[in-house]
Amino acid sequence: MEKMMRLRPLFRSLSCRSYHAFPFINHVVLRPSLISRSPNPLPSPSHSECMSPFSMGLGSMRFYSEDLTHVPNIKDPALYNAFKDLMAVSWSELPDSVVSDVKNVLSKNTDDKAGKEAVENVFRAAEAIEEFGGILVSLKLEFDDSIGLSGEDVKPLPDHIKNALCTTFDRYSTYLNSFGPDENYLRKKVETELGAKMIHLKMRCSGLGAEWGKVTVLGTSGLAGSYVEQRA
Amino acid sequence: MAFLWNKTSIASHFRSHSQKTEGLASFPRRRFHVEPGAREKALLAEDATLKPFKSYKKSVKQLRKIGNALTVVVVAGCCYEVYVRAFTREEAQKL
Repeated sequence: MEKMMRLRPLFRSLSCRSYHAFPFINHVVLRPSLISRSPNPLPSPSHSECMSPFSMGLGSMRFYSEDLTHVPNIKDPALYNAFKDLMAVSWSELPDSVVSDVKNVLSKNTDDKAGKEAVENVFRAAEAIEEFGGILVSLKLEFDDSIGLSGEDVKPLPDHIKNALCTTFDRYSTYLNSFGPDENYLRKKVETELGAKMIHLKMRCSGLGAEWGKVTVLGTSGLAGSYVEQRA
Repeated sequence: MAFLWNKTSIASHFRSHSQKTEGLASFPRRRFHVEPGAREKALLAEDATLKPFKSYKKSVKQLRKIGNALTVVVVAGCCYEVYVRAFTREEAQKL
C-alpha cells in the first residue's frame, strides 16, 4: 500500500502525458521487479526536455519509432509472459510446457480483455501453423521420395503433387493476407515460421510462377539464417 | 488363431483408447480449449488435393506417449524381477 501511495504521482504524470512518444514507458511500469526495486517515483521530465534539439530547429517533432511494428498493449503480466513465450518458441513443434502455460493463463479471469483476445489470436495461429507446417513437411517428403534415393529419378511433377502445391500456396497467401494492419507482429511471425518450409518446397521445383518470389524468410541475421542455410 | 484374436483385441483396445483421447479436449487436466478462428479454419480446411499429405503431429505425439508408457512398464518389470531374484537368493542363503 505504501508503494502504491508513492507510485501514485508517477501514474498521474504518466496518464496525463502522451504514450505515443515513449512506448517503452509502459514496459517499465509493467515490470514488477523494477517497481519493487525503485520505491521512489521516477523524476518526471519537463515538457521542454522531451523535445529533441535536432528537431527544435525544424520546428516540428519527428518520432523515430513511428513505422515500427508494435506489439499489442497487454497489461496483465501473466498474459504478457504467455504472449512472449508464444512469440519466442518455434511453431514447428510447440513445447508442451508453453501450451499448458498459455491454456492455464487463458482459462483464468482477467480485466485485460483486449490482451486476452490478442493472446488467444496468437495461440490459434500457433496451433494452425503447427498443423499446416506438418502438411508442408509431408509434401516435402513426398517430393524427396519421388526423385529416388540419390536423385536419379527426376521427372515432371505428377498432377496430384502439382495440384497440392498450388493449393498450398493459395492457402498460404490467403492466410497471410487475412491479417489486419494492427496484427503485423503476428503476420511476421507466421511468415517466419511458414516461409522456411515454403522455401524448402520452392527449392525442389523449377518452373514455378512469379508469385513464389513473394515467399520470404524473415529474421535472417548473417549466415545462420540466410537463404542458402534454409536449403534442406 | 489365438495370436490373430489377441492382435485384434489389442487393436480394438488402442482404437478405443485413441477415441477416448480424442474425446478429451487435448488438455485433459483443465479441459480448456481454444476454438480455431475463421482464417485458421480456412487454412486447415479439408481439400481433395491435400488429403494424401496429412499432418502427423498428433499421431506422433500419441505414439510418443504410448512409447513412454511402455518404457515405464518395462522398467518397472525389470526392477521387480531384480528384487524377486535378490529376495530369493537371500532366502536360499538363510536356509
